[in-house]
Amino acid sequence: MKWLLYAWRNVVRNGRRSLMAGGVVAIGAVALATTLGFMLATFFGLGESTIRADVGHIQIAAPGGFENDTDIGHGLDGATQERVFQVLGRTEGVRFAMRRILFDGLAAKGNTTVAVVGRGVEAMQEQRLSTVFAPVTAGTALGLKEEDRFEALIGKLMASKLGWRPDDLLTLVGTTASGSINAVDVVGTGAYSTGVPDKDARAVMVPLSVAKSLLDTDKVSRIVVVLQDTAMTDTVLAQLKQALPELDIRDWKALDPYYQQVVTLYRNIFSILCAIIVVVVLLSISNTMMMTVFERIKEIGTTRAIGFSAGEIRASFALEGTIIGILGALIGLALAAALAVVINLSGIQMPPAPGRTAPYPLVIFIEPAVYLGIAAAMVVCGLLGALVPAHGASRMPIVEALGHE
Amino acid sequence: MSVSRPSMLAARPNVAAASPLMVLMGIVKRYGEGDATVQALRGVDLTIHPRDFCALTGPSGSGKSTLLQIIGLLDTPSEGSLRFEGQVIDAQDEATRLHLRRESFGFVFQSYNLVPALSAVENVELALFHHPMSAKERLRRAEEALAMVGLAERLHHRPQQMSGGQQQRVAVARALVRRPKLVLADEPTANLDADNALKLIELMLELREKTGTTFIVSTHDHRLMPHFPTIIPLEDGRING
Repeated sequence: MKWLLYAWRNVVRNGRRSLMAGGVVAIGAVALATTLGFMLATFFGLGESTIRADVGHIQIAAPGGFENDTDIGHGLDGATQERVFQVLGRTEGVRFAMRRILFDGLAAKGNTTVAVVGRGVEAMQEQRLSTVFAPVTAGTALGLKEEDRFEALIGKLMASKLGWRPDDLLTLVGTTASGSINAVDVVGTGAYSTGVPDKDARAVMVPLSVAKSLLDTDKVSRIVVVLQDTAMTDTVLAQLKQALPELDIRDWKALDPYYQQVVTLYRNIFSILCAIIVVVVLLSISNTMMMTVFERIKEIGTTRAIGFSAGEIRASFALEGTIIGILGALIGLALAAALAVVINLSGIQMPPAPGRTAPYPLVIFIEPAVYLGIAAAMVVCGLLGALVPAHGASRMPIVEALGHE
Repeated sequence: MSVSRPSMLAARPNVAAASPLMVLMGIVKRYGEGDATVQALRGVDLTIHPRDFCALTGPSGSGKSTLLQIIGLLDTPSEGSLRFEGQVIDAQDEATRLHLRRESFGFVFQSYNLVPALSAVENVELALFHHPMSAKERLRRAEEALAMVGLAERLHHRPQQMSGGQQQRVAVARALVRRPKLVLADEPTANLDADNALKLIELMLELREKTGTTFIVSTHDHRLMPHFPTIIPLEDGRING
């Protein structure tokens, strides 16, 4: 307590310097908290948008089904589908599940034919997964209840290529499970956007029943599982893998390499940014504390003369640095939280992420664990910033220190 | 107090045959190297006894401060040896030197050297940081020391709120609060007017009578000399008897 009081008195005595050092810590804390809060919000937003776009939390396929995703021969047969749904029904955390068929084929209108990547869906369930499921840019959406209607949504870029108009008739051509060629006519009810230009040029979405007719099969390519909470993904994944060991079960991170690439890229960028911030804070504090130490060399000589060891002198300065670090971090984090709230309420839109077309709102997360980590980092900066100059001064011969003016 | 010269031994009152507190033998102190070497002390022999009250005098550059720093274990001699209460003090044994500075020595400096951030009583308490005692006891001892130097009414004043004389009395209280065996005062009156300088020396004498503490005071103020029972004249790094 006596040491703390001594350190506190010195912090207050050097008010202007302490304020400068504390200010640097506070600014550093704001910068770090805002940067990391943005990074976490970006990861969360990207993850949720990946899940909600169409991936779901977990997907289940037959062995080899993910590698040959448009080959219905590698699909899940009816009995397997039934068993999967039974397991899902008794697994805690599962909100719902739905079937999907993926296929390659052609779409033709008049004399124009384009290659397509098709998807047979249960539109009702898909809409439960995503409120922005297949956002229609022209025409109308897939019917939710009329599963047998021979209709299709097409990607908006493909619509341009085909010269499509709402309710134009299209012919879809695909390969059946037995390997023969089959075709169905569908009404192109609308054009939609996936948010990814490359997909918009080739995407076709039809009701699951239409896809089954086209491919002449009862099999489905995948079962998409949606959970109550993304945080439960790992737990549910482990349970499903245990219950269905013969099937290939993957979570959304494994299914969408784009997410991992972006996370890796952002993490590298933000790590460098955070390291720079920490170094700047450390150097600034060290510089300020160096001036403080320099002004107090005579005092150091006096205290050493009356019995303080060099280690105690260092510890006392380190305590001062720690106090400055704590106060600076507290003020900085309070400011950072306030700034995050203001930004989150302001509705600022960020430009689309690489490979995406839609802007997204600027959100800064206020994450207690991150704030705790930043506070710890700032306290360490304060401690080290004081310790480095104090180390030299404490080793100065007492007589020399006493004679310092 | 005894020095190498018999005449100084004769000048020392009331020391009888008490075993010496500190003995310096052949102390030499050199600064710098080669042609730039300066010899501040040139072989000082000195014996200090308990309850001595002596003035270390001499012109500027005579080696007063250097000798005081070596006696106070703030500096090490280039040659020679020191004994404190019969124990040889090794120049390299910083732990022992630190322990003795904490337990047996008190220092009073020319420019007071109080910590500006702390009040008078806190400055005095600082000298008790290493003594195992409760905060209450530490405060009581510090208040008692300040009362002893006549500053009972100035306990919570900061150094900058006190006169030079008051600050120096706080420094004396800080030096005495640990009840040291030896107090070393380096030009303690240099920044005081004649009246305050005299009062400070009288205070030290009084405290020596009360506490039995040994005082060595370096000064070149000749007006104060009559108050010192023993005078050690230093000239050109030697005791000039």
